[in-house]
Amino acid sequence: MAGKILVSTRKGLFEIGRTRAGWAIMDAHFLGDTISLALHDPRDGTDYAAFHHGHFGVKLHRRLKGKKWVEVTTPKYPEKPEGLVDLDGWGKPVKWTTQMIWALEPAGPDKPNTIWCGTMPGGLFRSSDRGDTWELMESLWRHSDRNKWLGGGADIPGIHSICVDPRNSNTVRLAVSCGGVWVTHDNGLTWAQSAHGMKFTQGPASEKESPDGQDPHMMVQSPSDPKKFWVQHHAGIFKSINNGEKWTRVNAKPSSFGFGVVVHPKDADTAWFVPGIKDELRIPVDGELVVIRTRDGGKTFKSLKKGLPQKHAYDIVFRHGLAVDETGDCLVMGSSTGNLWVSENQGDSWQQVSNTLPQIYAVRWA
Amino acid sequence: MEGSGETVYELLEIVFAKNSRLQTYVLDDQGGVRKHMRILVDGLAIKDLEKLSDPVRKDSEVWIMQALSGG
Repeated sequence: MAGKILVSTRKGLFEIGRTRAGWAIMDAHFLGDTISLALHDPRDGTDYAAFHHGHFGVKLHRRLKGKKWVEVTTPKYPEKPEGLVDLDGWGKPVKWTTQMIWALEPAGPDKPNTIWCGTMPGGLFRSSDRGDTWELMESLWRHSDRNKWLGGGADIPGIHSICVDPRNSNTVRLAVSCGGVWVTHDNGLTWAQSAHGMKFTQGPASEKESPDGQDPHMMVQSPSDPKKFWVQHHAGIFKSINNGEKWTRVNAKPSSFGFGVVVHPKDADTAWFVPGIKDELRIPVDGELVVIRTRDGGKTFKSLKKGLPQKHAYDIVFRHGLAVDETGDCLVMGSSTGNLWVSENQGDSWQQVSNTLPQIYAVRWA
Repeated sequence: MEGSGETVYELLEIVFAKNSRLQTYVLDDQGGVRKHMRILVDGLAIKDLEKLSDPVRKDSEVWIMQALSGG
């Protein structure tokens, strides 16, 4: 079991630890500031915290193992070429400015100090020095299909999921809301769309199945069987058993709508989701908060509710609000209403850590 | 802080040269004023939020303020 959890919230970053009495808030950082995401890099123990500051914009802070937090460099877009017409899928001009850090991932065991960073409005950055300097993946940013990307829940498109392939760290897959799934096999030099098979249930036929308009809310890759992927999509749950080359729909009860998904690190067919009613009604079904778990690759799901509120619960768990540790036994879940729970038995039961935190954007085992 | 220049841009260039990180707090990647920041010259908000070409006089007072927002 990992010993610590980083909880990114609207008003600070909280560290959760396990005491004899149970899980508890051990420390609070950056109180009052919005933290969109944090990363604990298990390769060297470095922590990162991404600020989404209302006035001062996006900032990145880093804490080397055993050291204090310091501000490092924020990924920055190059100067927009004079006269360039750059419109998103809605037809709105794209602002070449980092507007949110929405994904942070280590680049693989063979690339120490290197981390990937996904942003709004859709740029992917890489740092080979733990955030001191950043390089925009120009090949993706200047790909003509990027102009088909559009905002989903947010006004502008963004990269929120980065899956570095455990078989070869030069292969990286991204999920974009809304822009489908993108894959590189050459460490970011070239990119291809990989959301084929995902589809919306409504809309014009030409749009429903267009890979570039798909809205995968969250994507995870199985560490134990890396050809298998799970996606919580805007229009349901999808899985792939062939490296994301083809996606198929999975139906779940009480609903297939949601944001987060995690996969068991040692069993690709075991995955967890947190359902809401549907896209235009983002609250738990019947006011009962449940986590759903499949153990058979999506054929069946079990609702897990022990320890979770079953009356007038209006929590939504955002896409980074659910995480599993490296054993696969412990899960942590933080909600839009500031509730935080931990399970030590794969979701069978949950312990409430706090019901008074600010709105929770992301949780991460450290 | 004190500085000189014909425009807000020229003045801030001097200020930011002394503190480069300050620039990223006031201006975005393309050099425009961040959406919740305000710059006033002698009490009046500047008009050019992209290039900061509004003129300043030798004795002008320039304020950089946060526009409070959020909950």
